[in-house]
Amino acid sequence: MSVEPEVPIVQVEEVRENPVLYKIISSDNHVFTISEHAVKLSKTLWDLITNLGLTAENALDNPIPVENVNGKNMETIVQFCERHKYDEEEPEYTNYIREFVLPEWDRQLLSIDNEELFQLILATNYLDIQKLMDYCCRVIGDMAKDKTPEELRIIYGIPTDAEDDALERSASDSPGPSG
Amino acid sequence: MQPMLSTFPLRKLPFVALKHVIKLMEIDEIVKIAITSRYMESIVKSCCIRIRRTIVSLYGEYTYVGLYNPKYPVFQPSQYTRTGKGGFETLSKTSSSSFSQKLKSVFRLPETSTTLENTRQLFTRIYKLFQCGPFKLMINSSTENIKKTLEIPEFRNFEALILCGQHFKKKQLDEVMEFERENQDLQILEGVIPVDYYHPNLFKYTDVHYCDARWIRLEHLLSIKDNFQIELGMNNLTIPDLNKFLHHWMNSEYELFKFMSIDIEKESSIPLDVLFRGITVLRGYRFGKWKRLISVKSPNTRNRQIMSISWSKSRIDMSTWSIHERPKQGDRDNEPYAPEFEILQLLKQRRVLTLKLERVGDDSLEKQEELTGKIEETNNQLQLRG
Repeated sequence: MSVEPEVPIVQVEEVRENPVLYKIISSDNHVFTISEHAVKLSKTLWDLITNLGLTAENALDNPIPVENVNGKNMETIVQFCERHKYDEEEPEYTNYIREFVLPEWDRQLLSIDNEELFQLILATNYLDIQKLMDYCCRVIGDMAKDKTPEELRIIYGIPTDAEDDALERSASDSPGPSG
Repeated sequence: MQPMLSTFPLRKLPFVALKHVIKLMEIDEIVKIAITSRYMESIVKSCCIRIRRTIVSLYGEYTYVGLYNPKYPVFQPSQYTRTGKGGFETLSKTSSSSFSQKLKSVFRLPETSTTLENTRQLFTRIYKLFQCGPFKLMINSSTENIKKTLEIPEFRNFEALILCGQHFKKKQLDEVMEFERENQDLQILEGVIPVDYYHPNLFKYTDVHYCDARWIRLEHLLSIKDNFQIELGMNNLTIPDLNKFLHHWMNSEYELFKFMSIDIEKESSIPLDVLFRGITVLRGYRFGKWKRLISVKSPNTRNRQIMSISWSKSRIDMSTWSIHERPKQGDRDNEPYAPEFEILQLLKQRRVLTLKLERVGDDSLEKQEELTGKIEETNNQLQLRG
């Protein structure tokens, strides 16, 4: 029986280019390195990089602080962006129902508990990453599959009309700011 | 004991993210979430989700409201259950004589209302929920009072009225023909129409499709005016009838139609000498196929001066074009028919001159010479145009 010689695994992105790297610091002071192509998926981060005038030469010396995103979410976001950095651009949203299949890799990535998913969406919304937003929202939308409206009310924590009305009344009854 | 449902605080999401979740749901889930509360209904409305096509199908216990999204799976005509054929997502079905109890409670529809009333209410809610655009109204031949349906304000603005079924009664057809339409289409796609049926409004809808056109005669065709598309299925029209109809199209001072197709008896070859008797015809090549071209008598009074005619084993297709517009077929277009039109006019001119020459007696040599000269001149012009 012959043994296959061990060969080093070369990642596609590494052979494609010598990437420009940026450093990001999360709210809890974790430092992440992200390539230029990947960071471009976040409109917020890319605008920041452009406005700060960061270049290939000074990028690593000037870490970008992101105070609204913790390390755990940032780790997921960096993984996601690196995975999808060479994807084709998403078609413009036209208000028609869009059909897409959530890839298995991403489904695995987003197999997290609902509280974490909620925080991830907030982070994604802040960083303005369209594709990740689509995928997260799809995971949430999929929770509605084969459920009745009553079950949806429980799953999504949707108050009834009466509860909404009561909430509105109590809000209007409460005293406003004094002075 | 019911399993615990895992929960997600949807309403605590930022507004943009909340709307995004809804926009990425599938259509039946969107409907379900909209009916959980007034607030969620307003959120769904604010998403402005567009639906390509909507259909209201009225057929007793099979009545449904369907929303069409290409590439999407279909919903069986029972609540929220999927199958996999066609392209419509069916959001509701009535059970036996009325809406199912579940659907009534889900949509908060009155318990005692009729199927028609419940369908109206359901359709109205769905129509307000999405950006539906034009819709089709499909009525089955089993519907006794079509007039009543057509008088419902929410239903009367249909894009196309589709009739299907087995046998249509004169009264039903009269109700359809007498409906005050406004740029709307009529498609009778399935079912038998009485052979002796007639109504002066038979071509008053903009597009007209009669799968059973055995009741339509030549004199009916002569009433066609300003239609866009006409399709006649099984019919008793003869080739001499069609020849007369082509003459009528040429001599009219107004537009008759843009597209028209008439079924012919399968496997029989069309006698072209009969079809084009007394008509100047030219062959023109467009869209990889030879077409027969004829032109109108008074080009100045007509917007579409040329007709292209082609046929298959079972159908004759006619389309009319302005000589300056690019003819279209599906997504493709092609060169305008202006060059062919000029040749057709010259051919007609030569035909008239030749007829005149035949009638001029030998005693009028001067006239003969004049006509012969004009014919030669026309021939030269024809040669110049290849």
